[in-house]
Amino acid sequence: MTENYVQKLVVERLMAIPPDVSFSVGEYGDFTRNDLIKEVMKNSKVGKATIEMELNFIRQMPKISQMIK
Amino acid sequence: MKKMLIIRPDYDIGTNYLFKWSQKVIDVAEEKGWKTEKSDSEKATRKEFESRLKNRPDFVFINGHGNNELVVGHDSQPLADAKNCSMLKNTITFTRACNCLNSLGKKAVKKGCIAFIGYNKEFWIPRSHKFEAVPLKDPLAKPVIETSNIVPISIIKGNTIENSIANATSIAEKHILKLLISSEQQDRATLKAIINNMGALGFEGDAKAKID
Repeated sequence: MTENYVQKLVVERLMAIPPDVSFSVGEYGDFTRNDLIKEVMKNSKVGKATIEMELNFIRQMPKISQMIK
Repeated sequence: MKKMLIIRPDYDIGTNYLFKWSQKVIDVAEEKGWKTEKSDSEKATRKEFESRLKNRPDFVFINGHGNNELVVGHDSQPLADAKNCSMLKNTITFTRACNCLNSLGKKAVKKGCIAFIGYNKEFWIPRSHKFEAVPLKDPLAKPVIETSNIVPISIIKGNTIENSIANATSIAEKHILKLLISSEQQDRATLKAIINNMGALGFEGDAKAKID
C-alpha cells in the first residue's frame, strides 16, 4: 500500500464519523473529525497516530470476528 | 489500612473527562476501606506527587497526558519521569496517559516498582459535543473510560495485575460486540477508541502482584 492510499483510506473511514464528535488525543489536544482529516493529510504526529489507530482497527477485525460465536 | 494515591489534573477537556470519571475508582477504594490521597487539579504537581509518595501508598493511579519518557500533571508540567520514578518503588502503579508504558514503565520497574500498568500508544477519548459540560453523561466516552476504570477497580478488589487486565479486556469485548451492531453513527468513534486503547494496554513487572 502506498502512503497516499493509506491516507485516502483513513480519511474515508473518518468521514463515517459525525462532525459533532471529537477525540481527545492526550497531549496533542482535542480534534474533531475534520481536524483529524487535516492532520492525516499533513502527516503530522497526530495524523500518524490517527493512521495507526485506523490500521490497528482493521488489523483487529479477524480477532474481533472470533468473539462472535 | 491500604493506601491509594491518585493524581487528577484538570486543565483541558481530556484531563477533565479523566478527572470526573476517576471519581468512580475513588468511591470503590473508599467503600473497600482504603485511605485515598488525592492530588487534584492545580495540586497535581511534581512537588505534591513526590511529597505524597513519601507516605508509602500501595497503589498509585496517575491520570494525565504523557509520552514515552514522562507523564505530565497540571498545566502540562512534568510530574513523573526517569529522574523520580524510583519513588514508585514497592508500589503497583497504573498510569492512564499516552505512551508511558514504553520507556517510563520499564524504568520504573527497573528501579523497584512492583508493576507498572499503562498504555504503549495514544489513549483516545471520544466525546460528543453535546455532553462536553457533563462528561459523566457522555455516551461516547462512557464505554471507553469505564473499561479503563476496570483496571484500577480490579486491583483495589485484590486481583492480580494479569487478572485486572483480563477483566478490562472482557468488559471491552462486551462493549465491542454491542457497538458493532449499533445503528448510531457516533458509536463508530467509540468503537475505534476502545479497540485502540485495549490494544495499547499492558504492563511491566510482576504479573502475579496484587494488593490484599
